[in-house]
Amino acid sequence: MTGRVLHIELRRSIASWLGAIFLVLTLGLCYGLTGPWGKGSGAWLAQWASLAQWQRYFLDFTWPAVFALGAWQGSRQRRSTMDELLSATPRPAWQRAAVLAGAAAITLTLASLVFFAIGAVQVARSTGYFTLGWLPTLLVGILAVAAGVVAGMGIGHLLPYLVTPPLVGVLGFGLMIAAQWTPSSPVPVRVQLFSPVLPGAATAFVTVAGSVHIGQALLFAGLAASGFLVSVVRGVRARIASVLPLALGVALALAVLPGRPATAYPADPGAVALVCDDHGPRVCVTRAHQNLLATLAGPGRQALARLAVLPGAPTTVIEIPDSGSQYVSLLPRPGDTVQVDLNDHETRYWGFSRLDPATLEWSMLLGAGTEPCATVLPPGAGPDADLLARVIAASWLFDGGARPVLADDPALASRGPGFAQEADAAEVALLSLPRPEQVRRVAAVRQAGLTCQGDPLALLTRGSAFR
Amino acid sequence: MLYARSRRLGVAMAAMAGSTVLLGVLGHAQAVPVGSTLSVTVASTGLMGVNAVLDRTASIRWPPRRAAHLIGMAVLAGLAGLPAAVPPGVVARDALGQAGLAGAGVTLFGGSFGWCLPFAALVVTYLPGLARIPVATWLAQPAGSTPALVAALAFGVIGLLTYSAIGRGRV
Repeated sequence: MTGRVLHIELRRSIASWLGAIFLVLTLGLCYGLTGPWGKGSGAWLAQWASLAQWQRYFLDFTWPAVFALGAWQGSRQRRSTMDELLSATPRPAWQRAAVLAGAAAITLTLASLVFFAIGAVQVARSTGYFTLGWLPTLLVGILAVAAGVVAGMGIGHLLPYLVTPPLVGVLGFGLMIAAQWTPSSPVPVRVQLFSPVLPGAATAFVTVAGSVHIGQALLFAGLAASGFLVSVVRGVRARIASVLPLALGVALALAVLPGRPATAYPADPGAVALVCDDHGPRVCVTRAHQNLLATLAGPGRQALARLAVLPGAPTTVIEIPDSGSQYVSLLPRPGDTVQVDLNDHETRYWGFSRLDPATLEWSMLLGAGTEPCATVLPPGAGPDADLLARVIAASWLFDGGARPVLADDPALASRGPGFAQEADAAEVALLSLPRPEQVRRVAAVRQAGLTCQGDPLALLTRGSAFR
Repeated sequence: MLYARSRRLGVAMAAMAGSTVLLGVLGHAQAVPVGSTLSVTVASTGLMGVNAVLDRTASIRWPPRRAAHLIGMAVLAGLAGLPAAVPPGVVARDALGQAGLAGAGVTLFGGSFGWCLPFAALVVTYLPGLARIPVATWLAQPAGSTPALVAALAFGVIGLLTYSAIGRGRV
């Protein structure tokens, strides 16, 4: 019998439309627009965890609509006085409400799963790193959406007016925008985490803390319970009492949710772990990028061979997780290692087009095999003296100055015509020196890159650390 | 008087007052899109009568009356921002465009879903991929932005024409 009622509700109510609208909106957003979800090593189709986190990010734009449409369903029930008709039947009110809420929850769950499955097909092709870390992110997201529609129905039932859906939709969206995660936001992190929205995976190496999942699950379970109770109980007192589960959920969530962004989105130790190739000089990549080990090994060994002309040359290539350019100054820099950040915003800006062997090898030689010491200015920001020294060292190592400095990196040519000319002039000056002095100066650039002290351009053009 | 009551004028006025308070409290230009959407979406539920069949039997010429209703709604929503410390030009532009979208929404989807289009316009404003396209994010553009003004005028005219000529949808 319940099955038949469910079938009727699926056809009669907004439930099927809700699932379809939700799915179409989410797919349209991520495939139709370009946004932060397509960038960096944490792009939504790059890793399993990224896919689940970006799916939560899209709730920013779909959750208020689900909430408002739930409110429409709840208010229509009351306005059309269908409840009165149905209350004449022997079936208890909670069963009817449960079947209706269940119908909406089923279609929304299906829509979420279909979206995840569509993304998963592409993620499975692009990464070899698989854990079940994405599962709680996805499940809490589904719970949040289901709680949204049930809470909407509750509010619609409580305030059965035409204006209720737009009112709650616009207010809900306004609140979610206001609570959005930004480092400078005045809203405390705990309160920001009340939103079903997650900020999206910045890199492939972050995950969502278990305390966030638990706190949000408690909160949304409370919201769903309150929404459901409001639509079934009668009488003012009972209605006031039905807010209790939500209050309990909020209190528990406040106790459980972490208070700092770094605790809420910690590093994923599994993704950071190294996978190494020891057939020859050692080349390692992070486990998140283990598919790229073969791609990186050839150019990495080539780069090591070219660096061997320097005294105290490095013997290992290791991929370091990209932790954002503001942390480069904190990076430990061992002298026997060439560190590679595949998303360092300099030349290796993550993208499959930039993984061809020649580009990779050239970019590993930048700064004679070192990472930049300061935030690299974005392309178009004008010349950057440190970058100039780094590319000249790379060109000297790569082809001994046989070709123009930027021949192998058209992306850097966007720093203006003066940049390429200055680089070529400085390289010609370097090549005019005796060979041992050239080696000494390039080695000094590597030392400056390892210690982050001294001016690499002055070291290269004058042989001393001062200009 | 009856017309005013049947078109939920009271609720609409309350929403506009609420939006004024919201803008006044926040006092920030970023609150304008939310405030104008709030007043217009709530008022849009009044764009349909209680009973369309009954309305059709009345020997009134509906198109001018519907046009007047929509224009009045835009003007009031625009005035709602005046007491707050936000640029009045932006409020007026947003109110005009959103009122037009509400009219088009009511024509397309009926009175209880007329809010869909202004609501969608609000959501689109905050989509990260569209931040550089002023026509798409017209609600949040600064005062004096020509593409935003053109978008608002276009939505206003389209909404006015469709709503006054056709009226509420049959959904």
